[in-house]
Amino acid sequence: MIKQPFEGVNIVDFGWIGVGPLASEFLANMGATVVRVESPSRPDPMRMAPPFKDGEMGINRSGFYAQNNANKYGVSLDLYKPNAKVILKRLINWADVVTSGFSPGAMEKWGLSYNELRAIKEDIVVMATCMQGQTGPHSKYRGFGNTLAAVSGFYYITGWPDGNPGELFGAYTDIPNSFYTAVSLMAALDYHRRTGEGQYIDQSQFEGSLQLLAPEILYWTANGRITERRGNRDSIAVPHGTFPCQGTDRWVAIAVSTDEEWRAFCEVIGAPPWTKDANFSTPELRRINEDALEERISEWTRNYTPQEVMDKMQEKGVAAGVVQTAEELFSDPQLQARGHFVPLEHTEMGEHMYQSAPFLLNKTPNAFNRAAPCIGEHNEYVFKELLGFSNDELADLIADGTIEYE
Amino acid sequence: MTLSTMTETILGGKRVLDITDEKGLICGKQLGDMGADVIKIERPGGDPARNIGPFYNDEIHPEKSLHWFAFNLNKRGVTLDIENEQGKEIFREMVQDADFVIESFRPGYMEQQGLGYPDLEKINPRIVLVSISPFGQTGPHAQHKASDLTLMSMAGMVNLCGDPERPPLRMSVSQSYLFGGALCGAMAAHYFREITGQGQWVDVSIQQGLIYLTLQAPLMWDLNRINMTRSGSLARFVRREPDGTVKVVTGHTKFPTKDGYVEISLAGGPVYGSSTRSLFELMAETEEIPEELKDKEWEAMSMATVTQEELDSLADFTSKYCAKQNTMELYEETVKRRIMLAPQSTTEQLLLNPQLNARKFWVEVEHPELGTTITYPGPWTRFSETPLVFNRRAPLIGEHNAEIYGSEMGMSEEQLMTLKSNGVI
Repeated sequence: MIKQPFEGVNIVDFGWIGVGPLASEFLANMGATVVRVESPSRPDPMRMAPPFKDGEMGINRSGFYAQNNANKYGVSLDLYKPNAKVILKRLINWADVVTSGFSPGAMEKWGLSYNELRAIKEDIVVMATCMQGQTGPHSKYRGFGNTLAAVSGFYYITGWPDGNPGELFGAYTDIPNSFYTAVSLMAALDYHRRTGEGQYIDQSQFEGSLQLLAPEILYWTANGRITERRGNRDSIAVPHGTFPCQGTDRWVAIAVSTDEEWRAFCEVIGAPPWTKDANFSTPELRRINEDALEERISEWTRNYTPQEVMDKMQEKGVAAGVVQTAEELFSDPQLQARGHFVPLEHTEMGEHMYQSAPFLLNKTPNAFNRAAPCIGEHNEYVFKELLGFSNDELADLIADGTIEYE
Repeated sequence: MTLSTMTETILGGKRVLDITDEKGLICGKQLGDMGADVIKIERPGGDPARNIGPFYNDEIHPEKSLHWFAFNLNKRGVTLDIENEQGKEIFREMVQDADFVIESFRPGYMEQQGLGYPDLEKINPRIVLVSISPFGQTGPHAQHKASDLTLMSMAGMVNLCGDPERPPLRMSVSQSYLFGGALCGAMAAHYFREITGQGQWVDVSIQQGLIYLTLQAPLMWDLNRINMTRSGSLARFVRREPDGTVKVVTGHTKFPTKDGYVEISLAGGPVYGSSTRSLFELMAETEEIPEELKDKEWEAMSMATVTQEELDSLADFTSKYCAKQNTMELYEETVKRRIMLAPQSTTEQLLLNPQLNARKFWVEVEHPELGTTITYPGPWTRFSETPLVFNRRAPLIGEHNAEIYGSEMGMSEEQLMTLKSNGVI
């Protein structure tokens, strides 16, 4: 009886940067055996992205890379060497799934097109995720989750009505697409389980991202109207914003959606006279006078820490949350209770934190067995134990540089 | 892409009972995209999520919410009061043949209704119950009230967004419930169930999913004890030097054009260098390039040693160039040259996007009641053998009561009338 959903599923991961590696990590945390294939001479750029352990740059020292590659085995190959084909053939034969996250054309260049992979293993599942999909005039579009967030329309609607668009942190589109890509893999595995058939998945991160803007897209296609930036304002809740608190650059978020919540909110702040002002008596009036409303609320919130405001509001059933810093995430009692951050011992970096999945499965809890691999860390294990190469064969592949060390 | 006819799907023949509000609607919708028979169960009179805008022609009406349309595509709909004893009986009967139940009530509510996981498991040991809540079913904040903004805040994302001179902010529209974490948990539990025959309980925390948006920020704290803050429209390169000092340089990423804005990853090094080189080659075709930017070793320029002055000089020149360009023309040219540039698209521009149109991304969905056809976003992934399907618009209130309770569950018309007059459906 298996203990994890994807126990016995073998994945060869040619992922790159964010989406592909994170997606296969989700399956690795649920029992899949994932072999991450890398090249020391052309490493995943994430290996060069800070933060580094002790601030010291190194191919095995990036927390950013580690975050996306827990629970995987790492091998290092030079795919341009003629003998790479020998290894790849055995690796593909071992695999149920091949994933890639390069621009279209890269896998084909190494002789790893879907047809070539099928020629090695007919029922293979091949998953390719990239910025804008494998076909079409922009298929080779080059960018990251930040540029794609702009193309997808997220930046245009982030910011203040009187300011520039795009004040959104990070590589926004990476996250929904990591989940969608993981789901695609699970779906294709399910189909394979039922029918014995493999298939090819073309996951466009652009197309995945637009699912998150469906109402705004319909607002244009049905009504001919464009959604504009509006800071923190909302179409239902008022007040709705982040308010200054005690401390340097400390804030609390408050969202008041119903009349009942408005009454509770007024009670929490001690029902000062202005709360009875006719200008704030209905949601419509509060919206018209929202600048003045926010000013008065800020006068109150400034007297407390964000934590105090959240506690007072929550006690009366008003939605409020601390604008948490990254540091606070680690001491958040809720995240601690849920075991969100998991310490793992990395071969070169020592113990550091990894994130767990956003869901708990009551019969098959995610299992964290290994920190992210150093480059080529598991060459011997993967090539000998999993693929059955002999010591002599291995020595030859190392000698001719096919198995590539730093 | 047109409405699909019968094809093999991933979840064909699987039944989903969806009793979520806006926190969980997309999960059922996407199971429906994979071919599952999704039944949206609403309280009699209709789900409160129907009150969420925007609305068709700005007319506030429960049958005209565009938000509802978007996230209830591919579902059938019935009404049912699960707080009523008869209603519970009907729900339990439906659970017998179901594969998934998705709910997003306050943690503890389902148990109080006698419909918690242990209850449902007794009815159908194969059932996968997906419970979606702001902070998860357990823990000290499980009962906290939340909204999109407070969740993004508690996840550490809001702290990183916005201009440092102004309050931290969220995106101007709700996003927290749309990331696919619940779908991911549901599919993992489904796969396990298909192999072992055992269902399970998927306890989804929206807060935990959103933390992934903060990317390296928690790692910066964990590894380098740097607490990142918002830098507005600037890219902030923060690092802890081996000597212990923190170094911060900022780069411009947003450039106004004649008719909008473009986003450019303007940097050097092995990742960005060739893009920046191509950009400067493009600009050199029409502009005089400053001496210090000519024949620069872009690939060798390290973001670990770059100075603020260097970054500023790149930005100055680029911004002068962009100000003379038309956004979409510049985008087309830079895509060809593999320059990391992006338009700040509006929804209007998305509908004109050549890539989406070439891939026939958009789906036309008929709304006979409105006498119109509306264009929707198409597939979020493309399977060669089991394409996603777009079969039906969102259900009207109680639209499939007769079909599901009557033809499929065998209730008589009298029974349906009684349930209706008792306010059960």
